[in-house]
Amino acid sequence: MAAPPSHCFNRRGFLVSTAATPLAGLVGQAEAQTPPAAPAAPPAGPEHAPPATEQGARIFLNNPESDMLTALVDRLIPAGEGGPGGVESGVVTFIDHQLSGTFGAASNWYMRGPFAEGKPSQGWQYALTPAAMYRHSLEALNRVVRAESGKGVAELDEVQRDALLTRMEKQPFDLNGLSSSVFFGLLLNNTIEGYFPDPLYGGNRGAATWKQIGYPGANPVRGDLVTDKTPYDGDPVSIG
Amino acid sequence: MKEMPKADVVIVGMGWTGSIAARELAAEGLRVVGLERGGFRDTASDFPAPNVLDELKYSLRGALFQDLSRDALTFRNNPNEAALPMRRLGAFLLGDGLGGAGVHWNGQHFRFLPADFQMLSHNKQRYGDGAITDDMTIQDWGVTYEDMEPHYDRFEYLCGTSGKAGNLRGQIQEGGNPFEGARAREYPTPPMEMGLVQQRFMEGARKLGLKPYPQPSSNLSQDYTNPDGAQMQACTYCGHCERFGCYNWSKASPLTTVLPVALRNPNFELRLGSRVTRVELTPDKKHATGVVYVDALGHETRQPADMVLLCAFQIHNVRLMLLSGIGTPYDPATG
Repeated sequence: MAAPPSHCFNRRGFLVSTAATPLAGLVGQAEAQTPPAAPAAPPAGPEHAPPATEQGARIFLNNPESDMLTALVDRLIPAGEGGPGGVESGVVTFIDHQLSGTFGAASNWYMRGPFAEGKPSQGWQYALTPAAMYRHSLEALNRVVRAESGKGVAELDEVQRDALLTRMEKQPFDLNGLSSSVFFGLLLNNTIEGYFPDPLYGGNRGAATWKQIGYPGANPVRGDLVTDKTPYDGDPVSIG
Repeated sequence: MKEMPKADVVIVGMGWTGSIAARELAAEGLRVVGLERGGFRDTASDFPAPNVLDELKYSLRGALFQDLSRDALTFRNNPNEAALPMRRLGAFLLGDGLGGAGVHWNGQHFRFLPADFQMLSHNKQRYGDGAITDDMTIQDWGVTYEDMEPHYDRFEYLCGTSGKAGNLRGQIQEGGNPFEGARAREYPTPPMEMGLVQQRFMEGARKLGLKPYPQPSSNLSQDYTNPDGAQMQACTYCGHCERFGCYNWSKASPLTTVLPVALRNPNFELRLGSRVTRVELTPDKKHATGVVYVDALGHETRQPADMVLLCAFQIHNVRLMLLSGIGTPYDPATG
């Protein structure tokens, strides 16, 4: 097995920010297969540094892709604004798992040609599967950013990453034939999915985002709560 | 081609309509073959809690829906667009597997209003003959609400539908829908509990002089045993109805109502993994003689039958008819 599914960590009650894991390049395969010890430091880094990544524990993403996604997800759902940040809650792990499975392969989508441009109302009309779209877009995005600033996406500071994401969405530019707004839409969707899924899927570590919003999770019996006038404050139920 | 022995009835698709037809016709003593392209499913095996309360798998990734990599369709939003493949599902969620979309429906169980059956004559009467221009293709159904009422009633009692009548034999009832057609009797089970949001909404609507009423639901408010002896349980309000199978036998579906009866009847034979490719016709094209399908092992197979029922949802039924040379394709230019 190349990498352990990260929900093993969750099953052991492992709730830790990625900021506490070793920095990029220092994570070996052996370490990735053993749950790291509890964090020694709170999940706070220098103001403008992207959070550290978990490069050893990836299935689909290569290390540069993982770094870039970590840098972008960190700005889509920043840490310290009333709940866990996207990265510490496992969004990048979630995306990695999704891209390595049936979603990434578009296995239940119709993906044969020919491909035409299509209207927005005609939905996905790209020959790229989601996994291929990430690979295609991140590579092109990094080249665009490097040509403009001399830095890779993962090296940009917060302000620069915010500006980049805003441009991707609102002033779309070309990513080797694909509009940056299309990739932005996919990334944003998967980021939101990865922030709130059952912890089974590698995101929403420790069900922390469910607790944050008072969601009971996969709790099958809620009949008593229907007419209850107080907010739900029990622990959420997870499948994983 | 593999030849199967002739049946009295072959049914294409085992969702709500196919399952009901199988139950009824097998009970009449006819030999019925049901062809379903998907696999077997039942509550205990396939929808246990908490696993079925999985938003990502069922709601976002659509585990219960048609696999478009095998069966796709094209669409356009107006005649000036090029029709393109629907590469992933969006606005409508086609079912797949035993029970069809009746497994993942959300249980909102309305009847048509009386006027819905008479759209042409109702609107002419209300707005004058001039209101209906030549390019409007609406028609009356040819059956009325009163014709349908006993069947609505029977189906609601089969499902155990929870609701409050608004019109019992012509008498308007407090708390129900005052505009509905007359019912012969109350719903089999009372309305579901209202949450705080619904309660507030109803209070506000009443203050405006409106008549809010609880939506009829085939997610059941109480334990219920239907006339066939199928047992269902009171809903636990887990909130995972549409796009999900129900873990608790609370949502009426073919799996919880008619299929258990049909599957016990030796006159009914279910063949899963069977994809029908065309309806076979007599040379004058006036009668169906059976269907051709690809079975679970990939073998093209002919199933002759005296009666062919297309119960595979409107989109697939029309496609099968077009592929079989039945009828005239709809032309939006001529209506």
